[in-house]
Amino acid sequence: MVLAYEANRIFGKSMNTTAQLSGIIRGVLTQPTGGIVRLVDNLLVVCLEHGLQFEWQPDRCRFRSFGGNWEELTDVSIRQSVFRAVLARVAALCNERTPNSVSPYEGQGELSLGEDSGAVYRVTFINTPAAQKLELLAPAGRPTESVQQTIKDM
Amino acid sequence: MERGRGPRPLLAEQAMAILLHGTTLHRAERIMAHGPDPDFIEPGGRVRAEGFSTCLESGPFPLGTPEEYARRKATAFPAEGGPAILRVDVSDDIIVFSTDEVFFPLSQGLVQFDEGAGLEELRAEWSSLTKRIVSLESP
Repeated sequence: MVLAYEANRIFGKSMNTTAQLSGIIRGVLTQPTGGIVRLVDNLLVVCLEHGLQFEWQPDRCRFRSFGGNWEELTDVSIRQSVFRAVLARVAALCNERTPNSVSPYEGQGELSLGEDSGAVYRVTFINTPAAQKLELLAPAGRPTESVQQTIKDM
Repeated sequence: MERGRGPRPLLAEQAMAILLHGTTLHRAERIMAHGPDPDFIEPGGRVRAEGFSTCLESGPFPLGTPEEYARRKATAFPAEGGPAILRVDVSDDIIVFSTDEVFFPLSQGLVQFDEGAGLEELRAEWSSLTKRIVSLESP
């Protein structure tokens, strides 16, 4: 199965400008091709490939490369239930990696991209009616070939 | 976003799905009696619920299982009677109003009723739906 967010497209454009990267992330978040599950998968792939730290709240979405400046993403407007589902998927991935490591409502943990890729992300999130927030930190460095193969095989 | 609008099937053609909602016993009882309340505000909270999140009994459960949600919710609100699952039989002609193939395809087991996207239709039919509460062991 091919990952909805075309891995080849991502890996083929590792020198994206900030504007291009903003467009890619905006597309991942607002125009997913495989529901919440693929949306989160694709967000992880983009953050991994470009070494991104990503923060998302209802009224703010931004990213930066390691050591770089924050870039605000404008026009990322999705309804609350979608955002909460994204956060719930993140929590589920943390618990897939380490059972019972986080609550569905709030937590700090790790998740991985595929079972054997070795790419481990650190996440912090809140998912309550009153507050929603995601902080995602991809592993530093360019993905290894095994990670790239994992993505292509997903 | 306009979602799931289309011709309603004839009653004779209706298929049913069992939807699950993990919560606390007290909230499950309240929902069972009065239907999902978009104006519900959690104790200590300030924000309306707005929608009603459910999943297909058959799964999959990419966001976690309703049992997990029920237990965590019961832990967060220990005076609410413990964890429980609300099971509701809902016809496809109601579910279709909530269907969002972009974010919530049924293949991922998620049925999200939002205002303007299925919640009103679900509430309108609520009293006639078959419902049951399953209490879980407290965490």
